[in-house]
Amino acid sequence: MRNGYKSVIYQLMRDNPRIITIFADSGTEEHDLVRRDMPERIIECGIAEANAIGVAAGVASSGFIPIVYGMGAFLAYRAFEFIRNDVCVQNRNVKIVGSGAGIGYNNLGPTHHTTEDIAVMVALPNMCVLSPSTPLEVEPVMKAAVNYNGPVYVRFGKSYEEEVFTQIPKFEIGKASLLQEGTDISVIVTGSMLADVMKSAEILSQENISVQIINMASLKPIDRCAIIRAAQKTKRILVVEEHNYFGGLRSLVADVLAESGIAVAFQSIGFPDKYCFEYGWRQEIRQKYHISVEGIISKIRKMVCNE
Amino acid sequence: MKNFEEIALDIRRSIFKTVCCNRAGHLASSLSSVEILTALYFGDILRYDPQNPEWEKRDRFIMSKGHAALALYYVLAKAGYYESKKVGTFCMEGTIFGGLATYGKIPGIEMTSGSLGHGLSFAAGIAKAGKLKGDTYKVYVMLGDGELQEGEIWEAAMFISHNRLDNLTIIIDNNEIQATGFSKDIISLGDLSKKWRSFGFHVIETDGHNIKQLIHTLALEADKPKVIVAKTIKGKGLSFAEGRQDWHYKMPSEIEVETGLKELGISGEELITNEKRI
Repeated sequence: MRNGYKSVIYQLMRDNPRIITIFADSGTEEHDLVRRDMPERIIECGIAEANAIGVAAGVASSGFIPIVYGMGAFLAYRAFEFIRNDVCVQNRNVKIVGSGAGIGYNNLGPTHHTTEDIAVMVALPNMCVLSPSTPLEVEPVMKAAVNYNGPVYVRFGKSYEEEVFTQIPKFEIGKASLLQEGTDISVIVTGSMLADVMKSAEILSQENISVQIINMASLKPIDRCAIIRAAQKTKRILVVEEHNYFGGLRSLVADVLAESGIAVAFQSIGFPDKYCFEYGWRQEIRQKYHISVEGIISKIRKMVCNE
Repeated sequence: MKNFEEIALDIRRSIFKTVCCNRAGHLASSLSSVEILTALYFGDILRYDPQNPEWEKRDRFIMSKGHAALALYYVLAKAGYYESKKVGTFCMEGTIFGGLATYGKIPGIEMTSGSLGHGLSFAAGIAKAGKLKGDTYKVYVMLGDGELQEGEIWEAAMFISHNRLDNLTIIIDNNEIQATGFSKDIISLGDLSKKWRSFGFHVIETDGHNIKQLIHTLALEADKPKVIVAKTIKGKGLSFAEGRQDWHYKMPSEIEVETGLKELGISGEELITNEKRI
């Protein structure tokens, strides 16, 4: 996903002189072209995430569109109060792009895991929270983030996210995308788990289980209509995300369902309120928590066949 | 020639009257910053246009020690941003004038304050943006000395120094008292001037209640970011509050109201007491 970002950010900054990138000692590779051609439009804050957010608020108040790019864990957690008070309370036009969504920093342990960021970011009034699923989806998401007038947090992956699109997908803030129609169950997914969901649906189709896939790249505002339509149609909903159970997409979807009064079978896949101390390949670690093709298939089979 | 002392006295009286009537506000902290604010707004230091508060070329003043909001409200009123009597609604239902200032509601307020240590990073961003745009505006930020215990201040200090933001001036309202006691007893700040100098700032020490000296100091040019360590007295002007550590958020008693009125030369009729709040 970082490779996707590299060309997108270059293009965005070249076309819009108001965009400034702000670093906290991270992100140099993705910005080597920007560094080469527009070095004056990168503000380096060093290992000081809170200061990076405060500086961004000041830069935004002067008419620029700052994008703070850094590790999601350090921005969302360490700089949280600055994001709240300097950006959201004052509705400043600051974009925050946090890399390493979920366990993207697989070998660096729980301090680097970004598995509670959705929970804390959606809790902030005025904040818009976006979560692209593949490298190709980064472009429309970043364009929408920059064109949106107000605070945006982009939950952003790292490397090796699988591509599922053949061309740049459409994206609109507040809109889900229905990637596959189905009748037995709706899977609502965000971020890089989309590839696993699509593989699972493919396998399950051979067992005559028809899976509907909804990609939720806009987490806040969330597409309530898409959730309600899916609930009415399939009566079964599975949420898949690389995030803690609490406060993420699971909670957001559950809120909508509870308010709608529609009775559905509801399950989710994510981290079960535990820190993840495992190391190794991201896919392998995810597998241990059933955040995988096998985990998704097994859960869907249970939900559809064992009622 | 303006009579700065008269302006400051007038602001001090307004602050005291409002605290007595409305039973809200950080009285002592507001009083310690009156002369600094007077120097900035009436000593030809800040360029501003009260008719056009968002004027792009204005100099920015960021009150990071938000507790002195009441002082700033009256200074902005005197500067022409709104009528002084509006501030009389301070902390009452429906007012825009809260105990800490809110951005977007009050003309002339650049930042929502309250959580300490935020103003300097914000000011640094504005100063850096000014450099990027080639604007000539200047950025002034007032910090409390207790506020310097926030680690954020030093993150921002390194950033300002590294980026040579000589368009930025910090004024430290050095009243040596914080919420629960003397700073030297809570977490001592050591030699402030030495600290700031070692961070790459041009440091000047001054008397924070001597307006002419403050104006002179603020007007000095430097090729580095500047820090003015202004020695002040928390509760300045009221004998019962001056330099006392229990006055961070205390309301004056009946006797103290009487004493204060006398000391500041306010007639009793001027004080419209809001019975319900007392």
